Amino acid sequence: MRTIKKHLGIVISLFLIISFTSVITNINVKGDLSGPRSIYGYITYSGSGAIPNGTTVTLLDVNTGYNTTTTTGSGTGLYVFTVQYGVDGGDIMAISCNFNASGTWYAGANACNLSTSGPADKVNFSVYTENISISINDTLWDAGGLNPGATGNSNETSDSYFNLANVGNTKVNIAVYGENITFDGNTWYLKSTAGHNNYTMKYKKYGSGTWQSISYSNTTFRNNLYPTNNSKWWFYKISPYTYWQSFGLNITLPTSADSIPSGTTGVNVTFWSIKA
Amino acid sequence: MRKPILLIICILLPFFSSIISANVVVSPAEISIDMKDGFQDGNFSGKITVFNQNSFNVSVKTFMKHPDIIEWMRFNRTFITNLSWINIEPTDMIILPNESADFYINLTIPKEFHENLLDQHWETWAAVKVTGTGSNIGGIQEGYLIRFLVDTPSRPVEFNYLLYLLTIPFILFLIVLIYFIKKSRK
Repeated sequence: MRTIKKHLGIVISLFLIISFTSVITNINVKGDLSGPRSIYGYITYSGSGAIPNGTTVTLLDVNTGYNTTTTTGSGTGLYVFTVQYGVDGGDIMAISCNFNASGTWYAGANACNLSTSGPADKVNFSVYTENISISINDTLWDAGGLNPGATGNSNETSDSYFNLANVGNTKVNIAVYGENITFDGNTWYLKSTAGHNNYTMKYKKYGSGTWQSISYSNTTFRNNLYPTNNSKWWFYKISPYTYWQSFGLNITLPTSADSIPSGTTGVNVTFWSIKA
Repeated sequence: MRKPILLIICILLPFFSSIISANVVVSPAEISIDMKDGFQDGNFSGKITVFNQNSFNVSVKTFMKHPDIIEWMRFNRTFITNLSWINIEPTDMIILPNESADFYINLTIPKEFHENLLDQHWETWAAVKVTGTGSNIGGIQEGYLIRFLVDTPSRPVEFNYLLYLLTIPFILFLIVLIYFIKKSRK
């Protein structure tokens, strides 16, 4: 009887210790995250045949068993995909993919320039942390001497005077916003039409033929600007893509003003980039 | 006072400076938190790194904001309930040429809101505004928006705290058990 009690006590004690440990584990939280990683790859079909609509591409992390799926569109001979993975950091350097369609397939991924022919199975993909970076050409624009309220109180560049390029490694959207002009305690307000103490700033994208107002809040300037032509995006050479956007600027001063600045002043305009 | 137009003699030179365009690299492009293990208790930080590739200093200002172009938000995402729960530090920094700086996002959701914030999928943007130094007359500036995605627990996490509390009786029970085992040996 005494032995039974002893063993029972040990078992219960172990149970409690394990239970206690599991509770501690369950409330653990994540620490620093390295951000999601993206896998860029492509599949194409033998010959020039289109990839069937709805073909799924499943990426499987061979280390953790985590998998994620993307589905093709229709009517394309080349399907390029981007898959988010690894939101919790780690260094998962190899991922297998499986295609659920039969036939001869070709698959590849960026970064390693890896390609294989089908059935594409267990293709290794490289993953890396995404970054965003844009570059705007540093051409100087001096809008000249402008007179508020007078004829000729505006000036503009050509629609290819400035050039904005995506020099990061992921596709981005671009927004733009302007700011009021402040000087000596006075303000000229950025508006859609010029008026008393109100000025306008506009942009025109290359070839568009239309001036668009820049407002005091963010508005869309350009969507889906691909990364600069580099090795990681070499497969996009096959299909049309654009990694830059040329544009011009127009500024029109107030039609009248309570005060004018003395000497030279400037205008701020900001281009925001965000992962598309 | 409104001045007569004819009296205005302007020497204004709206001017875009050539030294403003700054070439920096910001990473990652997106940060996600999935709180499937329970609400985090203010000890989370997500790091954003800004690398200055220029030969001159750049000035960086950071802040958190709600998305202001709704169509750019990820599918099924909403604004965070209270933007003050998130901040980014530091908010101002000068980065020297060919050097990088880290900025940390801190998220704290007060405990009293936890039970009403289950299964939320928020999107907030961390704004990083970059200007070249050496000019104070305006110009074209670059800004970077890093998506900050937060998924709150889908089930009540207070269950974990309940278990936590239960460990105290467990320990007491363990002490009592050991006492009786020792007593039974005598």
